[in-house]
Amino acid sequence: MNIALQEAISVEAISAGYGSSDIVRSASFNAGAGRITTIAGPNGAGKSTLMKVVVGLLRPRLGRIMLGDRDITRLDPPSRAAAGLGYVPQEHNVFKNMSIGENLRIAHEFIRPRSSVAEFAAARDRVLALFPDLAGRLNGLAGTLSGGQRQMLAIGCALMPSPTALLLDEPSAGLSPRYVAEMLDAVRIVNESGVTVLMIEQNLVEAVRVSHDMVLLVGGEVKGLWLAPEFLDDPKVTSLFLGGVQHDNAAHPTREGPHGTGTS
Amino acid sequence: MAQALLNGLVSGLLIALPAIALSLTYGVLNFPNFAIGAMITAGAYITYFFNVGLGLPLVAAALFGCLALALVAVVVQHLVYRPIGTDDHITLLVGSMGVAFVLENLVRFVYGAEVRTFALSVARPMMWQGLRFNQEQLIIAVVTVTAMAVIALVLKRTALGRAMRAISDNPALAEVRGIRRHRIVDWTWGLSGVLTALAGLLIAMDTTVEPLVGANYLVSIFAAAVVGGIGNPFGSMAGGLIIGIVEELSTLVLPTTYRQGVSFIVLALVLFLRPSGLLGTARIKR
Repeated sequence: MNIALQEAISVEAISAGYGSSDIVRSASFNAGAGRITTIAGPNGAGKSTLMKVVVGLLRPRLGRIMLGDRDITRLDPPSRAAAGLGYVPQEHNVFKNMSIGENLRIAHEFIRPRSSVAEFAAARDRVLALFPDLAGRLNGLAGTLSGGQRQMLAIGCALMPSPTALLLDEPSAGLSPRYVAEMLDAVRIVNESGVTVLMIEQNLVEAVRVSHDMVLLVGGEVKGLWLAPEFLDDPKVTSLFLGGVQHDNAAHPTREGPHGTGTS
Repeated sequence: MAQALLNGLVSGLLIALPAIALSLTYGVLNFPNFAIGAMITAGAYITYFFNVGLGLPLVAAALFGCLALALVAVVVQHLVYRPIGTDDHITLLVGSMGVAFVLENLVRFVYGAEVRTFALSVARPMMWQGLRFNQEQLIIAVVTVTAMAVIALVLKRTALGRAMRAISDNPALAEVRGIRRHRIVDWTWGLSGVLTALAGLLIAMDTTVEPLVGANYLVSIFAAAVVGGIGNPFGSMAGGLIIGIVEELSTLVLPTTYRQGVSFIVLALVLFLRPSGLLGTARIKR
């Protein structure tokens, strides 16, 4: 099923893992340009492994990664970053012993080495407008930030070089419920400014609220693609999440009305 | 007492320079470079070659010595450390011991074991407020303080310095942020080479040029780096001064042969009270 007209990121028959066994097996899907695509799946499904392959931190054994119509499979992480891929790891995603201002600067200066001081300042102002909590404490060490603020800084850093695609590994991990919605709203705002988003998210209710498309990864294999508003209603999703065993209501999270605008 | 403090301060500055170099490479590569002593020796001999062998004035010889040792350090990185990889810290450490053997014995092979001195005219010691200090000590103080200021500036104010600190903090994230690790590692070895060549020149100027000139300082350098919190160059500056002053003061009550033992005791005490070194806690692990 190919939902989007134009693919920003194409994962083509990727097999990858550590050592001899594959964690991700022949996974293929597309993240549509200008859309938010969320990879969902139970723990140990290989979501983070797949994300690392897309970013370039892990070499796939087989398969191909396309950014637009460019094959980036052989590029190292710095080159992928320069090609327009922004990445926010799940943890250890800021330089803790450097100041917030330095984190923002370093996120920009190596990926956009030829940009002017004015361009840097404009990029930083954009990020600080999105996350005003960071603005007042540019000189503080990033390691002293709270979990939510750290996550904001990490996303802000990934946005500094104006990426065309943003990869988020569980933006809501470890955040208090109030921050979760705030964080995913920020993701939505970033997406509305034209950035393609591919993220991993365990909080399905929130993920479905902001995403356009959902990809289900179970046991290292892509089990299907859904428009976000339809995802949680599909009994197949529930059964796959529980490993094929159907429970009546245990797996159905409580849900708000579908806010998703997943039409194409 | 004041005289011992002054001497300790100067020898502390001398220890701080290679301790900073040790911390820099430890920060980006995560292994303690045991070849630092042999690098000091090599730096002293290379400078000696330009100074006495080619007859260049000492300042020019020092400049060439720094560049040459920086080049040697980068070549060693590509021949030895890079093939080992960045994750295998113990193999890297053992590799650096091998590098130390090779450098030290290359020096012996070319120049033999005899003791040599730089072409530097002997000057009368100067007096100030009842304290005696000689020309060498003045040169050591000026050169080391300048070098430290430059390193601090590089670390805090330049893209290279930020990249070095970023890799030291989180190498995988640094890559994702567009930092090319191998390039920064090469630059770090280059800086480390410049610092150790300067240290080699200054130590040999203060004593003599001989094959163990650097190895004799190995314990003090490691003690200084660890006392300051290894991996933190600013800690190494403080650690060098502490070790230098304590070693020098100890000679007031102990035979001078115990100097290195004293630095071990300081090291043990500091690690007992602050396991991550004096400035180690300023670094946030999680």
